[in-house]
Parts: sequence; C-alpha cells; structure tokens
Amino acid sequence: MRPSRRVFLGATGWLASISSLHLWLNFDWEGYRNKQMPKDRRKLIVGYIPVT
Amino acid sequence: MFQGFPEIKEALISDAIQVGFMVAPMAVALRSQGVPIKIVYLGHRYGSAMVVRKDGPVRTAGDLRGRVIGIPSRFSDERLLAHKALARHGVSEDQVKLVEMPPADVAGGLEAGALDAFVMGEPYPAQSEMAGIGRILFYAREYWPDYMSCVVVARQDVIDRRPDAVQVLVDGLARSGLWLEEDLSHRERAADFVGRQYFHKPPALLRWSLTNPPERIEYRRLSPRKPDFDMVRDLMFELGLIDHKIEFDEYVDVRFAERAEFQTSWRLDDKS
Repeated sequence: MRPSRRVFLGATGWLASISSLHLWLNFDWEGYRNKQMPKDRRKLIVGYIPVT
Repeated sequence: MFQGFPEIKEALISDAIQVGFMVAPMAVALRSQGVPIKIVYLGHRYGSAMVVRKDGPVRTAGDLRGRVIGIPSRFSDERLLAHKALARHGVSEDQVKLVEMPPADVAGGLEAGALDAFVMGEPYPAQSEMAGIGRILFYAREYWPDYMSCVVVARQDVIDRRPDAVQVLVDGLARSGLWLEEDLSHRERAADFVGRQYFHKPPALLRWSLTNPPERIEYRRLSPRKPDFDMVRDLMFELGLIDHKIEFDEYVDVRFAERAEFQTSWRLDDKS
C-alpha cells in the first residue's frame, strides 16, 4: 500500500474514532431525542442552580 | 444545572428549559417586563444567611457600613434581606457596596478578602462555616420571619398546554417537602443522593445545611401567598427594581399549589 494511502486511512480512522468517542461522551442524546418528540409529549426540562 | 441566575433566566426565556427554580424577585421582575411566566410553587422557606469573616471585625449589620457584600443578583431575596437588615441598623444601601456574584464564588471571595460579607443561599454559608473561614452573622428569619427565596417558575405556554405535567411536578415537590420535614434521617438521606447526583458537592456539606439546625431550611408552607409576594413587590418598587406594582395573580398561578395541598409524603423503602 502506498504511504500516502496509509496516511489517509490512518487519519480517517483517527477522525472517525475521536468523533465517535466525542459523540458518545459529550452529546446529549436524551435531550436530542426529547426535542424530536411532539411538543406536547416532550419531557419538561427543569433548570436549577445548586443553591437554596 | 446552571451556575447563575442570569443563565437560568435566559434559558427559560429561550425555551431551553420549561420550568426553572429562580429567586422570587427575578421572577416578579421578568413578569412585570412582559415575559410570559408564572410562579407555581416555592422551593423552600429560609435557607439564606449573611456570612462574615470568622475572626473579622463585623459583629452586627451596622458594622457593614463601608464594606463590600456579595449577593447573587440585585433581583434576589438576598439583596432585599440585606437591605432590611442594614436599614434596621441605620445603614442605607449607598453606604455599602453590593457586588453580584455567582453563588459558587462567594466563599472564595470572602476568603480572598474581595468580600467583607455575603448573603447567599445554602450550601454556601455552610461551606464557609465548615472551611473555618466564615461566621453566620444572621439567618434570614431574624430579619424576615416568613423568608422565601427560590420559587418554581413555569413558562405560560407550558401551563396552558400541559397543566397536568406542571401539576405532577408540583405534587412531587410537595411530597418531597413533606418527606424532608418528616424526619431528620430523611434530610441526611437527601443530602447523600442530592449531593452526589445533582449538586456535585460533598454530601457532608449538604448534611450540614439541612440539619445544622434543621430550621436552617424549611420545606413546609410552600404554597405562594399573596402577603409574602406583596411585600417583595413593594420593596422591589421602592428600590426601583420594577416600575409598577404588578398584581399577584399576574405573576402567580396558585391552582397547582392548591391541588398539591392534598398530597402526602413519599414512602420510600431502604432500597430506593
């Protein structure tokens, strides 16, 4: 395999794995699914500050 | 979870959240400015205190003349509390410097000397006490017998379209309040899971706030009452925080609290 192709595949693989890890760790999937629901069926999102 | 009241205000306005806990004067001010929200319940009673440096010279609110006091927002009950306490000791607001700070920053501000005092909700007074830096100068109840701070605010469109969901939330809060007031062990249990899951703070800190003494924060009488809010509104008008005296039923919807009065405490087994 040519070195340039190897570099291309390595970089693409790295980008895909880092992006997947980021999506798994940092993307709010539950919030995203909630937003896809019709408005009258979404969970209410309640905001708070850790203080009385 | 948010770190400051301005952020939670913006999230509520933009519909990023549909319900929020915020300080009562901020909710009153938002409604008076035409933001379509309503207060539906209280979060608690008491739970705020004025804290000064443990070995510092301040012994009464009168000693705060010329000093720097941290508050969470100029639209906060803590600011109104400070005003009442200072006035009782003949000190006007222009004789002190009020500095708005996120709640999490006040203990550090006191330790660093940037603040001479702060008025804040728990667990930040407890945090200063436990760290050996701060001393409670007074609790809220000493100058404001029926003190309320955080209230539960819902967007008007949610109240209109999904009143059942709002009722479920208020019922749950009522039951949780009854549960917390039922037994001290319930407060200790709450300190553990709330500290870990929601506040991301050491449970020992919340345990201190909730039990030392138990009257430090109360979870009874959480239905919004007109006399309480009229007093807040009138003081806000006097301080120029609102430009007209908005009526109680313009910013409070008592229906949910009235129905929640029939609720009973949660019954949790040891596994839950």
